[in-house]
Amino acid sequence: MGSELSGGGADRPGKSDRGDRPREGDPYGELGPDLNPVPASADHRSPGMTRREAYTAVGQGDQLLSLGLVAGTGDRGRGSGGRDDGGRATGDRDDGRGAAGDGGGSADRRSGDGEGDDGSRDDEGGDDGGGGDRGDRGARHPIRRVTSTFHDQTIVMYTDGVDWASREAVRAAGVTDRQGGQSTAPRRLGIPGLPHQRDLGDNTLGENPDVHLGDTTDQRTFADKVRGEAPFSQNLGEKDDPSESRIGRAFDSFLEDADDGYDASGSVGAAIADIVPRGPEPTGVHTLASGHSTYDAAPTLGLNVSDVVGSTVLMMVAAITGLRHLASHSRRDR
Amino acid sequence: MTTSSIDSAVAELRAFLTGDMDTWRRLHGTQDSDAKGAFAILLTTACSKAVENRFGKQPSAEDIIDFVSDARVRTIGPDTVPAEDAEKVLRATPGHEDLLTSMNARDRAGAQTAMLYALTHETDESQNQVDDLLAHAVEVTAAYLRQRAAR
Repeated sequence: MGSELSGGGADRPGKSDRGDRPREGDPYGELGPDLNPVPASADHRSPGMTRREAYTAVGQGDQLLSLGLVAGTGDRGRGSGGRDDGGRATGDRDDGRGAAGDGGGSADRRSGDGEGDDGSRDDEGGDDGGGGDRGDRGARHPIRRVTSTFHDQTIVMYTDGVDWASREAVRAAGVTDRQGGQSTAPRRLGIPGLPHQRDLGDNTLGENPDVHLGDTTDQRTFADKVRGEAPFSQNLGEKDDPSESRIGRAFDSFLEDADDGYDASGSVGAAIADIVPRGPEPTGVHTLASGHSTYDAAPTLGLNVSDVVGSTVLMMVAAITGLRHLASHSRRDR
Repeated sequence: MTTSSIDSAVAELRAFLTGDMDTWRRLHGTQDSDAKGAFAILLTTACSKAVENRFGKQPSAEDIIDFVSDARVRTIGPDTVPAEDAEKVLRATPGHEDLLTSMNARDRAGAQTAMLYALTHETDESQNQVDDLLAHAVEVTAAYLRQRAAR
């Protein structure tokens, strides 16, 4: 995955022009042909929407997702009004290769009426020199971990190239999972101190009025997927709790009742051990066998004691019989 | 939990699976709590791997039912473990660990012990896989315990 989600380089002026189209001389112009409006059929973008706008919209939607500010858009990154946030994003691959993008200066992000949907989402950062590959746009790939900085707060997200989930959503899914499927995600957070974010949330949630800021319930599907595909901490990152993995949690519980389990294993083992030496039952219910075929031992090549004694006795008897026979013949001859 | 805990748990499990019941009886009563914990993880991972070797990653219900009924007749005895518990531990492939966590420790460990024995005594060939199973189980158990210790 690409490095930069939030677009905007340091040389881009920070100004919030919500809903405006790119201005003359806008730094986006450096993108050249990408500024040309493209038809709706291309890359699933809205009519007249530039590639840059689509990326910006997607980036914002994703960032909102990662903040848990977007509800009901777990599978969709919606563009919203512009904002002046000075965001910075870095992308880390699971394999440890990290690429960093820096939009350190504030970005003049405006998506206007733009909207990024599943098809147009491209987090590869191609326009920002992040080395992205547009060829696999929209294709799912193994889950990757992405970190970004937003207002000096580190944000961790997971994506498979199409769906996104924040670490908070993944953890919420874990808590939900542990509590028998009952969602513990807050229905309302209410963030009165952050009016501009509330505005963004309102815009973002425009098509989903029943869901509110901070509600991560709709992100559970992909968050669960992240959890399910992460053996131990492989995909969750080194700083995450290994107990997040299902098998890790299962092992934890086994350790807690290890004594009981060990005793039960001993009881079953003793029952089986009693069966093993026993041969097949002559009649009756079930025939119990160890699973190995029974067979007669092959005769040994060497002589044992009983063989020697038996052979000697036989030879002596034969010799005595022969001698007696001889003696009786010689008597008759006389 | 130390390496020696894993080693002593492996020795006990190996004695049982190879039919060295005298050694198994001698070792069974001597394990400390760490070794008992290691035994629980070893038993689970070895059983899971044996199931995968025998049935593949997605065992069918039909195959499992057949195997359990056959094992109860031929190998483990009809009353050693309930068939339902035995079938449940065989179905607990990776991703379905909830089947194991939903059981109590006694039912789970008893069924795992019986099924692991049955899986490794189904044929002469299956008996030969005991050491491979235990090597895999030791690897997974050691990795888990390392991660647990690092928390």
